[in-house]
Amino acid sequence: MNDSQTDLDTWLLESFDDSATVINPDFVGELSGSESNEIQQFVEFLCEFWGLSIYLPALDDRVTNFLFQKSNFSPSYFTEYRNAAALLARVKRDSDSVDQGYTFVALEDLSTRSELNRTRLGRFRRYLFNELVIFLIAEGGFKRFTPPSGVDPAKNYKGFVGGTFIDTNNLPYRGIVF
Amino acid sequence: MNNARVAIIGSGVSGTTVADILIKRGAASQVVIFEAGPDVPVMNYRLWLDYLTTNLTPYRHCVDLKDEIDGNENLFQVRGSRLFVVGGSTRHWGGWCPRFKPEDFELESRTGYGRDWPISYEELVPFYSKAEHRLEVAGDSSRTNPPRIGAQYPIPAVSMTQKDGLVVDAFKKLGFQEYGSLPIARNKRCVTNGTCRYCRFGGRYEASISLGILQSENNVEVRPLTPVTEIVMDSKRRARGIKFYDVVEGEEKVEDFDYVIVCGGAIESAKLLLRSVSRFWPNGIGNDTGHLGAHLIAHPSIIVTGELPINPNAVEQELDFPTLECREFDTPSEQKLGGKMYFVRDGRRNRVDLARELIDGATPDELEIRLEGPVKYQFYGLVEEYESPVNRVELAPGTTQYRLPKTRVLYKTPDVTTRAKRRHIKILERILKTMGVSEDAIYSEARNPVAYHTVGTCRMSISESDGVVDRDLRVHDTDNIFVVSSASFPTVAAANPTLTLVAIATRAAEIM
Repeated sequence: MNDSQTDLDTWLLESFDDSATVINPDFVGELSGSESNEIQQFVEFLCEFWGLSIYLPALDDRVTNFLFQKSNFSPSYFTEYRNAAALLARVKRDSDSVDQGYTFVALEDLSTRSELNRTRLGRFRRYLFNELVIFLIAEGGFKRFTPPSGVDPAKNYKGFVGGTFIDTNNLPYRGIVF
Repeated sequence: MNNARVAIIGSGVSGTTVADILIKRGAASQVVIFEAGPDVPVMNYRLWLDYLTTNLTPYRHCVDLKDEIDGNENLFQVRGSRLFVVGGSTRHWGGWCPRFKPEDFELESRTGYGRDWPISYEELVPFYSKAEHRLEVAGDSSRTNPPRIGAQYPIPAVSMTQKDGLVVDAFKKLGFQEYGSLPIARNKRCVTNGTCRYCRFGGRYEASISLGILQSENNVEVRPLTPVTEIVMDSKRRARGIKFYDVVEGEEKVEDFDYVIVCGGAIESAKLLLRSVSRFWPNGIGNDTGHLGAHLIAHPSIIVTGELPINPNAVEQELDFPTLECREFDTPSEQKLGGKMYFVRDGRRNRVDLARELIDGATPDELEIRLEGPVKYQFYGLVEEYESPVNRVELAPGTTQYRLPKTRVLYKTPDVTTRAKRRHIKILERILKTMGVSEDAIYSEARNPVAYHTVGTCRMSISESDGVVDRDLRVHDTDNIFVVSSASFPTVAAANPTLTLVAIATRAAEIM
């Protein structure tokens, strides 16, 4: 581990903000192109890591809209997202590799750190990473985790727009007729 | 009623039903709906995203606060069961819409407990059908118990899920006949996306959506954050209007109306009449014989869960609502034994929360193993409760965050109902065993009631000596006050009450 990596880890786990809710919830705004790109790049890493990419058509548009909705309406995540974009930019700059940096901020087991929520990384995970994972799975990523071959795959999941139940020949879930 | 100016207190399903019918048949020229709680936007994408990602609904604050209920919450839980919000409790309801059965209207004649309704199932049949159309209920029209007399559901039944299949096999082995798709208020806009507690498409009946349409097209006004504090009387028989708290001006005001229709739940409807004390009604409106607030009947539930060791096809419910109901023990013979049961196979939430697992560091391979691992099957039963002389609702000192009087509830589950819960738990355990669940993998719980489905506090009766409202839901000895609420049910039955509430609301509004 190089010096900049050590400095990065310290910076990520520094005590940052005690707010129980998002910072500046009334401060709405739109992320800049570079801020948005930082987050999109991170999302692409996650999808590739978990093998979700093929299940998420038009992913960029959906994530962009997600960020727009959360930034432009109250309670606004605008400040949290700007901080998150800055965090991702520094992770890219100071890590040995981008993938290694992303892996640490997203996947490193830090559950033993009771004060994690008050750190830069804790806020990043709570307000960006965790919610993005839920969104990605709901948008179709759940299809990655299918039953064994030869068995109907799951068609539906919380948040997925499955379709109408009225079309019994093409049910949006695994159904039975009796 | 003709061309009248009408005040409706409460903006839930009954208030919305009555407003719609009165306006459309010309009985009312104007309807003003008073709602103590706020308006919360419906079908809002951002609010939906928040619910999806945080599991917090936008109406979560519209509930009773801890110090607003004086009663034993362990025995009868009010908090969280009802909402003070435009649309009332339809904002968070499940939408289950079974009809009551004919014997439910004849409890006293058949068992000696409680009272018969002064209206029969046969009289309600056409109104049940109208209620099913109003709520856009999806159901199986070929089932005939309770009798449908040719009525068709407006939406075809929701097909059961593969997870129901194992249960259906057990029902067949046990010789059950009375089971099928749960009638449920899911309409053609439902896209089964599993977030029913805040639907972004309006795929489940919500009174607030209907009210929005009513307000835009008719002379209907909804006033949120406007608690009604009293019904003001001109004489023993006639209400002059209502007294309410004007939030903008910060003072109480009186407004005149030709008719006053109370459409709160069983707790708030009784409380409004109780606090409307005058020289004409010294004990509250409709309370000369002491029945107001009394006869509170709850709807206890039982939950029986079993675990099978493997789930080879990784079946999950994949929907946010149950799809299999059983009425095998919702029968006259069970009624005679001390209380019927209506139950569903519950399973709205997926057992393996994929997103949560990934957040916590699970790998895809680990997830696949978990999906095929132990699987839970759960039955949720609603047990018919019989009346107890001690159970009632009263006014408590102080006011709530919505400027309504606080609530006192006196409640104890009747012994006969406690025995009924035990009996029905054994039935549900037997079904799980038939499915192959081992005895040591079964967990049973007899829950004390939650306040949803509460009835009886302004009960219907033929005579004023035995209740608060007549069979048309008019307060006895008055001309222009009605209580259109589950408060007017004399008994609770086993099945969910909302469809029956809409049926009696429809009937009352058509003859007002």
